[in-house]
Amino acid sequence: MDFQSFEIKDKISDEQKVALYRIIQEVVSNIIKYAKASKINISVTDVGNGISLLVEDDGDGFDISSFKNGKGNGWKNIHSRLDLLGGEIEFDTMEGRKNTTVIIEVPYTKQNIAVA
Amino acid sequence: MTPSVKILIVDDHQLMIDGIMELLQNHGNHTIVGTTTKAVHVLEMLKNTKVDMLISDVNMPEMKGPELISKVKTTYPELKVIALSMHQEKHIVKDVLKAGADSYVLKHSTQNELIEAIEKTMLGETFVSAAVTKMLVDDVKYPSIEELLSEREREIIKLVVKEYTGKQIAEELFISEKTVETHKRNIFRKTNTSTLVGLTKFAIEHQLD
Repeated sequence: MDFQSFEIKDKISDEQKVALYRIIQEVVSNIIKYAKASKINISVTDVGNGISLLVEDDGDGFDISSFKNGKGNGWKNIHSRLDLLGGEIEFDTMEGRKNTTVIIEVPYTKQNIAVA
Repeated sequence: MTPSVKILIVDDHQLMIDGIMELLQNHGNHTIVGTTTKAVHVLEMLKNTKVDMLISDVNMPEMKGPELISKVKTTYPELKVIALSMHQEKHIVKDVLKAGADSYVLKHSTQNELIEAIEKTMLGETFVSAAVTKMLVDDVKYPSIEELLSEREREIIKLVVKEYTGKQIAEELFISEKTVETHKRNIFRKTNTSTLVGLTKFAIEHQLD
């Protein structure tokens, strides 16, 4: 497992850090459980107005809708924490294809999604 | 008076040798005991002549500087070596210093730098041209390429430099075009570039091409 971070430092609050940490934890544990991956790479990059977080693995892809509608709490946990951060998530994966990339974008200023 | 420093010069350009000799004639206490444009002749010359210092070019056709310096230092560990080079790329400087060069002087630096380098090197000190020192300090201060860019990002840079389109990169790496775009944006940010030309320059400087 590799990790890179770029110019993040103190731009995010402890709350945001914890939420991001939990999301990464959830994604990584899913990779370990299902993907049969030999490599995981996590990179956190400051993109000016927020953070771009990528979790890449070289394991088996999966069907996104069955993950989102699955019985486990994985997606729910990720989704609720992302709501809290005003962030967005994208899965680049495909059943039957190797290599999955999970892209998470989180703005520095917390947005109030509930109002929108 | 201290005995004069016996210097051997190797550079594949005779004009460069002439220039160095001209420069040293008027400064300090040195004797040029030999010159050659062929790196392969250096070891032979060292067998027959007493030499205190080798001033060696780095980029020579038959034998590269690091190889020559390493061979010279293995046989004559006491012999001082100044690498005189036009290159200030990190990997070249590192190779030369690892090979055992005592000092590293850029060819485009001032005359005084070479003279200072000779004096300091003979005292057992290391002299490195100011521009190279800055590069080495930056190298310590800022993250290495491996720390900065992920393996996937490095792969993408290589393909971008080869003029692959986003679609072609996506197909090559089994990821979506959108992910390629995200990577590209992050790469531009991390490498502090914004154009293909800038990124290509970065790739060449860091041997990613």
